[in-house]
Amino acid sequence: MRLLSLTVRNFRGFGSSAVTVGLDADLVLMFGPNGFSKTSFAEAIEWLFYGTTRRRKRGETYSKSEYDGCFANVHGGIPVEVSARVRTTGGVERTVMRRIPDARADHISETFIDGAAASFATLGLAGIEAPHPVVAQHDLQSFIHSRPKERRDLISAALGLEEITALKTSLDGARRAFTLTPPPSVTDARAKLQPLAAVLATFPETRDLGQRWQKATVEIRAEDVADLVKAGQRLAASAANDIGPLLEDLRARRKQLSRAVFDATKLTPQADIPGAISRTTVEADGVQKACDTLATNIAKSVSVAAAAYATALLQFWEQGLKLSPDGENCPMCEEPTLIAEKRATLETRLKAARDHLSVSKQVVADRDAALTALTRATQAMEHAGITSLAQEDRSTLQTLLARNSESLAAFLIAHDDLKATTDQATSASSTLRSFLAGLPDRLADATIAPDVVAHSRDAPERFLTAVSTLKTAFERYAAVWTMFEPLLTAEISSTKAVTEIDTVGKALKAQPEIKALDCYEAVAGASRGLMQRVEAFLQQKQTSLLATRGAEIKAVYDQLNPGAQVTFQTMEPGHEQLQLHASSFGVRMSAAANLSECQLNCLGLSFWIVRALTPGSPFGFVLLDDPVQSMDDGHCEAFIGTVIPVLCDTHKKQVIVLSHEQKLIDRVRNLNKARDMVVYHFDNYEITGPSVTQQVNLAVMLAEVKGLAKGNEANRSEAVDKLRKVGEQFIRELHVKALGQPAPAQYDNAKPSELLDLFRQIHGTLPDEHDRLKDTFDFSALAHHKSVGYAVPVTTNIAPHINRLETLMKKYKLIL
Amino acid sequence: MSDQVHLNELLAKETGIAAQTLLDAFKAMVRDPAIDPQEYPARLRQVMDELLKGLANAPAQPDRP
Repeated sequence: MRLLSLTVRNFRGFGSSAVTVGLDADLVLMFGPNGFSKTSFAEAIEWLFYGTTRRRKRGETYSKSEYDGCFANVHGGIPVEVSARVRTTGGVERTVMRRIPDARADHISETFIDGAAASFATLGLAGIEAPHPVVAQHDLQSFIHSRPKERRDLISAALGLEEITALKTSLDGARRAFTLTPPPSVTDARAKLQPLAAVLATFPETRDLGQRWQKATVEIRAEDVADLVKAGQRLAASAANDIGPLLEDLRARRKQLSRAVFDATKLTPQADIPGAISRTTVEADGVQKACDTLATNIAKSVSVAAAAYATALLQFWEQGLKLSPDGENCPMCEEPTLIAEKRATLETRLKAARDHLSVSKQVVADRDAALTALTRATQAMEHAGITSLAQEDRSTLQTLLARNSESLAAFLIAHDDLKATTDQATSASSTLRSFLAGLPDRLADATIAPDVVAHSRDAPERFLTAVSTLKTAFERYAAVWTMFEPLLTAEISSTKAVTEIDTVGKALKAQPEIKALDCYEAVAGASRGLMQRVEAFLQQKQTSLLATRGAEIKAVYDQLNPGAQVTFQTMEPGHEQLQLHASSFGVRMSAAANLSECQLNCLGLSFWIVRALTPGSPFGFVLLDDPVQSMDDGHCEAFIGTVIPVLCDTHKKQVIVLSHEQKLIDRVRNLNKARDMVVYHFDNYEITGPSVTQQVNLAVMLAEVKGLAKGNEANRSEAVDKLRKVGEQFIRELHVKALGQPAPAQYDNAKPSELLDLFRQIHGTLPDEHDRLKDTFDFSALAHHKSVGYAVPVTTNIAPHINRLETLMKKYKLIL
Repeated sequence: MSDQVHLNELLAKETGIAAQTLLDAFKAMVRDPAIDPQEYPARLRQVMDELLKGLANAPAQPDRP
């Protein structure tokens, strides 16, 4: 691909005046003072094809904010775009353009081909990082004066290995992050498994596992679960191979071992405490109701009995009344004593006797109901009750809970209180039961019957009070037990055998965590393996490519340093770096540390030129931006006389050279007059951008001025201005012709008056010629300054100055 | 020789699922001009997290490299 022209608008140093520069030549030379946007021109080409620049990419690694938005011209013109007319390798001319749609996000750009949005890949411009055709001035030393690792990255990019290098760097970063801040599932799993490691390390089956799990990373291996199963089988004396049944066996074994330490069931009621309290309360209420009913009926029975005679006498009376159903004769004494009043009295007493009999039966039934209620209440108490602690148990508890003696003391108080209260309630139950059982006999004895009535009210009261006290004791025990039980359980669990079972059990139950860590290691291992293979691949590629490309770099370097004894020698790729070796009279040394700035400039230039010459590059041009910054005259001459012709002739490249040194440009120009060449000057720099003008040979320039001088006022004005440039160029070319070398560097940006001094110094020139040329410069200066009252000269006024310059050129054989 | 040739060559050599996934992800991001190269490590880390999730949720044993 050859560049035919370039148009830059609002990009970097180029402002709103869309500058189009024709480039369709084998050699393009561009001179401009520093600060006149030469580098912007080079970057415009780089950005056009790459969408960014190496300067920007490198700068962003240091301070992204400083480089944000730097592609757009600072004066804010839009659109920001660079377009080029190119000729493809197939000979087809196309217009390629890149544009920034939004200057605030200048890292995003759009590409167009012949005015339509399209990817440059369709022109074969894909994967073009290696054959970078723009050798920027800031790149020359960056290759040398960079960290060995960055240097390695640069050479990798130059060898077309930038993607692989970026892959390695990115993979390395990703792996570091994955290792240093693992996902939460991994940290949680580690936190769960690591505390088990110390105990597991004591088992023969899991010794290795325990050591690995003690590490911060908790290393998991495939055999870990099988080893845990073996340990579990041993501890549980189980043959189960599956984790579920094995855990059941471990639980059973743990229970067994815990009891051997202390049987905590001695301290807990059979029923749950709130349920036991509720049931005891309900049954006690039943006892109270039954006893209340019993007491009421006992009172009734006793009062009726008091009004009744003995049963035999009542039977006698009843029989007598039947024998003498009417009249007043008594069947016993046969006297008329059975008067109506007497008869009524006897029948009343007979009725009372019958009522007494009935009440007595009810009392017995009530007594039986009360006994039943009492039995239920007593059973409820017994069900809820706790067994007493033997002295041996107390001693065991004191040993186990030596570190929690206060808690144990509080618990034992509540325990003993509950036990005593339960005993009292049981005693009250027995007393009440005895009372109820003997009730019929007591009621039959008229002498004690009144006491029975009184006692029947008091007898259940003691039992009910005891039950109420028991309920309070139960509640207090429940509160203390809630706090005490975890302490007791922990102490039991802390015993070695139980701890071992608990540890293996926990490890076996932690299958999700083991799997999480196993998967994590699988991903980490896969990335580690990939990383190693990428590194090996990179090394292999570097070695093989450097064998050829390194020799090419060395060859260019040698062209710039012919016959030097202190010289660059070779590049040596390493694991994370690239060493540059030099030699001094055959002794190897570090290139970066020992070569001169000029030699390092040559080395950097060699590197980038070879990169630009990458085989298969779609680019038919090489742009060299200020390539001889630190070179002395001898190295410059080697560059001009050797490297440029090789680029043009051997590699058939279109060569574009930008420099702030007029001398360099003039020298190249003079040595390459036979080539298809075009020369530009960055003449001026204004807010709208640089003024880039083509420098043509004196004959062409003079012919152009002649034509303009015959035109309208604007043409004539331009003709006068160009007279000055023709005069300047005349002096420069005369200097080259007379002295065989370009004007000294201090005249690169010289004013006409300063160039006149140079003209005067050229041997063979005449004072009259000095005066006449000064007159022409003065004439053109008026046009340039446009003073008040100035009028553009007419053709007849311009013509003498044109003739004067033509005469001088002919005299010194600068034109025919 | 362009960069893509080398990355494709490396990709063709890899047979492990995890390695291929990582390389495919990298290839996609490196060819996307909208992705800042400085984001590559973080994006690859996300790919590794996704790989881990996939393995953890798989019923079978993880595919060791």
